[in-house]
Amino acid sequence: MVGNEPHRPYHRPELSKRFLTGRVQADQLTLAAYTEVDARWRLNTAARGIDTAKRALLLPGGEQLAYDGLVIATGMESRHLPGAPVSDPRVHQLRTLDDATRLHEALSTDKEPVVVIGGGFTGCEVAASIRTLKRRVTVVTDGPALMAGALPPELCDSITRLHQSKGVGVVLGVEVLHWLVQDHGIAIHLSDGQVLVAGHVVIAVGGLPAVSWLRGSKVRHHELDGVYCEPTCHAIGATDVVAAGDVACWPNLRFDDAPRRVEHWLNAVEMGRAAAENLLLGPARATAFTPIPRFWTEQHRMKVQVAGQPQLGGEHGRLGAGCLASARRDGLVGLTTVDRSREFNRLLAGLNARRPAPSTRRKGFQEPVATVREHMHRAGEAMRPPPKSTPLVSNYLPAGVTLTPTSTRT
Amino acid sequence: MSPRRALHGSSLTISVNNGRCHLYGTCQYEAPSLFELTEDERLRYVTEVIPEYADQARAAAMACPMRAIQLSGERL
Repeated sequence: MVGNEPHRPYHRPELSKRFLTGRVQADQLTLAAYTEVDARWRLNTAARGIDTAKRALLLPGGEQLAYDGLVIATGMESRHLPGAPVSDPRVHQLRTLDDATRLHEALSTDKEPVVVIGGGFTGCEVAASIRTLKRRVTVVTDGPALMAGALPPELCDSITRLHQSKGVGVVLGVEVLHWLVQDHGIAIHLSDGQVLVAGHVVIAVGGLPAVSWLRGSKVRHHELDGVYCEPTCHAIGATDVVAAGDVACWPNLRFDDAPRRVEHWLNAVEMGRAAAENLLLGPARATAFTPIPRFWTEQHRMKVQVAGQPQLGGEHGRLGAGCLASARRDGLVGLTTVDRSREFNRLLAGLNARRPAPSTRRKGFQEPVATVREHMHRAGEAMRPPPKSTPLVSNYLPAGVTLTPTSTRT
Repeated sequence: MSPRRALHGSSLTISVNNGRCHLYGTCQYEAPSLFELTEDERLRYVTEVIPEYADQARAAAMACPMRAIQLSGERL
């Protein structure tokens, strides 16, 4: 096990939530191992490259580590914001335990206002956690709403209002023009003319797959897409290299044959298992990894759960209180629930049946035909509109579920 | 076959930390015969399970977003 962090694996999702609020300590984040792992741990060791012909992992100082099989699970690195004064100790990012520890300690030294740049999962969760500590916090995003592009537009609007109602400052649709580092705070000039002065800044503008170390190797990769994989998680063209987690770009044949990455914790858990099994089985006996991706976020005690890939859907409809469905031309692609875990599992079973993994798909499966011309409202533009002929979401609902079109603004 | 432990059989013990559990129900998806979210928003689970269900129990514990599930017993 080679990793560039000084720690053994830990539960990263908690960093932006209860670790930041002080409810959970670092020693409570360690992951339990349910089998005895006979591994040598090379922590604090960043891999420098792979020689696939020699089957060797290249380590610092010219060291080489021979392998029979290799799992690439390097995850993501935080994206930088051009011009941001990242060397200032008051400017933070949040990806690792060390990042989170530094932020937590910085927040405990004063009561200065905090500005979070970025309205995605990390930005929103960090802002909610900081607000829980009764501190002044403002989220700045270039999107039309918080979480835009990640969740159905209607829900993004609700989440934006939730943050505002809890006292979080929200600035939408702006970019940072420039930064002014001063003794009493960091002044952030925004494109709408506002100037925010922050005691601490958290930059949470997403990440990039950690693949720079693969430059020059035979493993096919891209700085935005990560490591290109077969449906079985094998690196393209390789029999003894697999990739898993946020860094892996593979076609999930349950949805289509377009290779994509999934940047969510539960997928990393499941894909790690699948990739390891397929590595041991070898390409000939390996099976395609075709999960229904699932993820969650918790902000101001509101639990959002998502199944599938709602961002692929051009239509979004309501399945009753707190439940949304997303569909594209070939049917249901995603489900989202708010504070309804039981319902989430029931709908998830429906999605699983409606969009089965390819091996279990019945031959001659009849696509449902749209019968009612009832159009679903679309809010926002982050999700692309469907082609004109798109069948309705309601044709793809799990049995026994009725659909109400989403209202404009509730 | 019931996932519950038969008398005097070797077993695996599941416990859930109620303080940590936020009732996401991820465990039910991984191990439907061991975990169930009830109508009144509570989590019901089998506490002593036979070895045949150990894989399911492990999958549920690993997938728990809140790491609220603890496993112990002779055969993990």
